[in-house]
Amino acid sequence: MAMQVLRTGLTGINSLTISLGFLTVIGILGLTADTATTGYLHAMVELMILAYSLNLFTGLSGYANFGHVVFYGLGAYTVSVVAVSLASMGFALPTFMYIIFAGIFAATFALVIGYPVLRLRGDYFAIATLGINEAVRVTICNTPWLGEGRGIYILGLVPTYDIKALYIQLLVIAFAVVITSYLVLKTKLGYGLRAIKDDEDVAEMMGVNTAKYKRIAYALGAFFAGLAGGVVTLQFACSFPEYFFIGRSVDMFVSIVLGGTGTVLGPMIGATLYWMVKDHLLISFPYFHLIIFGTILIILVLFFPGGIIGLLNRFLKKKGRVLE
Amino acid sequence: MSLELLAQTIINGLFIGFLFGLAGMGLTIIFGVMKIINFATGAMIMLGAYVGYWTYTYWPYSAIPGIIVSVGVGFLFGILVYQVLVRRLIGKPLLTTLLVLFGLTSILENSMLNLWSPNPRSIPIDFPTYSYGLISISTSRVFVSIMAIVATILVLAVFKYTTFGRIIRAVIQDKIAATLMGVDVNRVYTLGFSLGVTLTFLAGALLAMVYPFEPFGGLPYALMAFVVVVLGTLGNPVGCLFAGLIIGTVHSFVGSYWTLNMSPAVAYLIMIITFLLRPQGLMGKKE
Amino acid sequence: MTAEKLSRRKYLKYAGAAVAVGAIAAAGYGVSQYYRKPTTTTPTTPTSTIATTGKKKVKIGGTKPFTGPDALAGISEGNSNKLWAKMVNENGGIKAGDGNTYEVELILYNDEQKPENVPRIYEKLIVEDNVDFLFGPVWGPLGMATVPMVEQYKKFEIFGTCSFDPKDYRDWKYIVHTITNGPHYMEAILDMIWERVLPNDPDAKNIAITHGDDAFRGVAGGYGYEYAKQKGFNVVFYDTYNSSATDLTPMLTNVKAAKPAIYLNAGVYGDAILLMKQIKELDLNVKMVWAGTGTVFPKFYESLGKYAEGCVTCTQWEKGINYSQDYGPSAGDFLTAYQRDYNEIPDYHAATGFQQGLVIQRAMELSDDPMNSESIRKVAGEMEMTTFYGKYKVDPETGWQTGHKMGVVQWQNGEKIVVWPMTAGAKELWYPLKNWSER
Repeated sequence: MAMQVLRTGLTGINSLTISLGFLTVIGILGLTADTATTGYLHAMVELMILAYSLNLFTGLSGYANFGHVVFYGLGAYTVSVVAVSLASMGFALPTFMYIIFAGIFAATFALVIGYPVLRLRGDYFAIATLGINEAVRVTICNTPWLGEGRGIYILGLVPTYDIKALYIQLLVIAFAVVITSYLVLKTKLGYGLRAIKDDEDVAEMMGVNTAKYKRIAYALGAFFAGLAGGVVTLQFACSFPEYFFIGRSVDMFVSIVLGGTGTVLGPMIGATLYWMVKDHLLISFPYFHLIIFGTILIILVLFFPGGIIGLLNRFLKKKGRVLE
Repeated sequence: MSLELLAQTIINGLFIGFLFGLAGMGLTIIFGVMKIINFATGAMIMLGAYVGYWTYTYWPYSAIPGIIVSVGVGFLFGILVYQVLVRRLIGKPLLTTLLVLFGLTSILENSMLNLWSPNPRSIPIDFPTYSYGLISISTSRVFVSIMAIVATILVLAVFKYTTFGRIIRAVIQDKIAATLMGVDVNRVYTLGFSLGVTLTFLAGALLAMVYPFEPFGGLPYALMAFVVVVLGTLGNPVGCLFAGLIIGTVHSFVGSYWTLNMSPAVAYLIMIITFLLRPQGLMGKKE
Repeated sequence: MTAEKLSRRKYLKYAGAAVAVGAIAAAGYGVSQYYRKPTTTTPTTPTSTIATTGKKKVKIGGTKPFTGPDALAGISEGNSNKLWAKMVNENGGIKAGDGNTYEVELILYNDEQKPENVPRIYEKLIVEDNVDFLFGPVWGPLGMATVPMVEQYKKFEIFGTCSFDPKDYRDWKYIVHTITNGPHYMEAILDMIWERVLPNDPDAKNIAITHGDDAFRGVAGGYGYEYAKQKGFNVVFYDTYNSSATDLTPMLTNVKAAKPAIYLNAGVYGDAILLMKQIKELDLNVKMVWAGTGTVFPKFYESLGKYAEGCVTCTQWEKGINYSQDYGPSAGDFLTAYQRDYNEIPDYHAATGFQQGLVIQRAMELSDDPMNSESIRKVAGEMEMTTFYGKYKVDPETGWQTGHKMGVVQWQNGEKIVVWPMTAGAKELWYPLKNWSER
């Protein structure tokens, strides 16, 4: 038993090292190369952060949070609203402050809606989160001071588009989310969530405070998704209701399932691979990329249910090691 | 005057509701039989609409052949999709199902785009409207609503009176026992899934007469289908139809007395509140 | 049996693994080839002759939604962009103001109408593909997302079907528009009613206005409402509907109760068909109706049959609008060329795509430093011309289109007949429409 814990602990550190090492590499690559490469990697890291943020709750607890994109959208809108209202009072903040506001607001929102929504389970939870996302989007479309369908435009109120500066901020968030994922996985919270995934009723009977654990993980995921949304608004200098598009949720789901749910390394591998394939198809086959993409996706998911990590572990298990 | 508005609002709501209910019918049956949520519902509704439309362009006198062809194609398509994809999804986690059927949606949407161009279309069938003041009843909507009721009754009859239906109910109740009794579960699943897809195609073919459709236009219908299906308890066709009527009426009242812009939000809100008060759905039994 | 099953399973596994490896390899290959392999329309002249004849190349890049909700507009506009590049190269290229002749190389990508694709593809266009000028995307919010980048890299960008809210103007310096901007969409119809209908029918003052809530419909309808009130119309009903609404009857019932003479709805493609079907269902009789910009498409007529008769719509351009033009190919030439290449009658998105090209062409011809975005922007801001598409004149400061005026067409016996502006060969207007029961 002790041996096993030690071993998983060690390999866990391996996963963390690999993740952080990979992030460092693409970080340096993105900061030294030309801006087109930075733009390419920027989008990839953004997807990575979103995948990790989804993984924190959905990957560990097994609750399918389809509406995760709502936190991303709310983060994006928070930045716009804060920037506009501060600008109307005549002052501005350093850009990272706006992003932090975005994360905090998204997390607060998650805590509030978490009380009712996390009482639901399975498919009901999945569809309720979908409903919340649509309800928020529609409400924004109806609120004049949130720009209705037109969105809020903040060009000139915050420093304009600078991909390298944004990339640095995104990298900081990425490091934070990887380390957080690792910590969650290795602490009581992570074990509690995995117990919930196996059988929530049993976990509850065993004395796991399931409601609290779920809420914490939900809010943590929301916090990081909100941060990513904040960066996006700074990048486009605009926030509009299309940030709540469900397709973004699907992107995140594909990433974590492709990589391996509930792991530290999985979302990173998944997001990287997914982004590369998808982007290449989009550029090379602009008229029918979705057909090819759909086929690849189906084959990968059907034949590698554990994701890339599951595949790697099949080989590594023979050597008595697992990646997570 | 306001009474007329009230009456018309209710009529509108029921008409909308029957279509929502029908859109959710296939979804709810597939879930009932094999506990799989068909996330490709939106694309399948659109495909059903295209098949109906396509038939109509060859024989532009009536919508009935389109509906029949659409139902037939839907049945075959259901068998195909089951044998190729869904067979492998039984018992898999929700995420796997989601992604595979999302992949299917991508393929279908992009194929429809290349086959039929991105133009929105609709079947130009000429139905008379009867009106009195503010109140008006369109026979096209009446036709669609009757079809929805007929489909529900047929599904119930199949479930209740045919051997196939009895087997399906046995599988729903206890899969292992049914297998032990010699039921070919794979065959039941195949037929159950294609029955669900058939109903989804039927919804599409009917929808094509009263609504426009386009390759990427399935999402709003799919979202509403999800709402009515969970509201009316997953796996319950009658509950689905009733939930459709409730959601449709909510749409109509919010649209007529407040603003149509808010009606989806109110519908979702009602759904979430219902979940909290009755997590098993309107027609479900308490666990 | 078991052995067979096992082997089959193994086989499937290997097949899956092979596909996965293939996909990964493809992705890797894609990344390596990424920056060298764009979807381009290359010049017809081989590269070697370019040097000898002294021809230079101008690279123009852009994105359009070839898939996604607005693929209809994206494909048409992209087709026309390509057609323009082809026609220019066939005629020997652009004879620019500095004495050189430039051949056009066009690079178009698909942006799927998703905002997250835009910064990344425009970075690629600007930095990797090294384009000289940009064709903007199709939809307002996506266009806005390109603005910070264009300003940063100082590239001249010309927008096609892409409506902005003038309130969002922030001092940008490298942008011009070709279309009449969203806020002015309804002006053509309202002006036409005011001039052509109101003198004969004072009841036409009572109008109802509704619109969808997304970026384009919100701007077109919201500003149209303001314009109508300002002009002196009596707006008896005003409401908005959700852009994902599948049914409009609840709102239309209220429209019917308000008894307008004329009903104007700022919609796009699908909702235009939906609205027409449902005002017929509700027996909502008006003397004139605008259902949305989608009215111009042939599929609108096909989807509604005879009930599409008499529908009016404002349009940026339409076959049959004849301007006395001073630049570019005639409307007939454009029509023939487009029909030859794409086998369909061009809609106004297609014409807009062609106009985008013509503006760049004209600006390069007039500029003595034709490869410099700043000089091109200055020329494009000051020049005036009338092409088959109509007048081009922008505000030199902001780049908003001020010269171009929209036309109005009406479906009459299965044909779109131009009924406005009077100066462009307007024909007779059908007014009032018959009641539904009499059709």
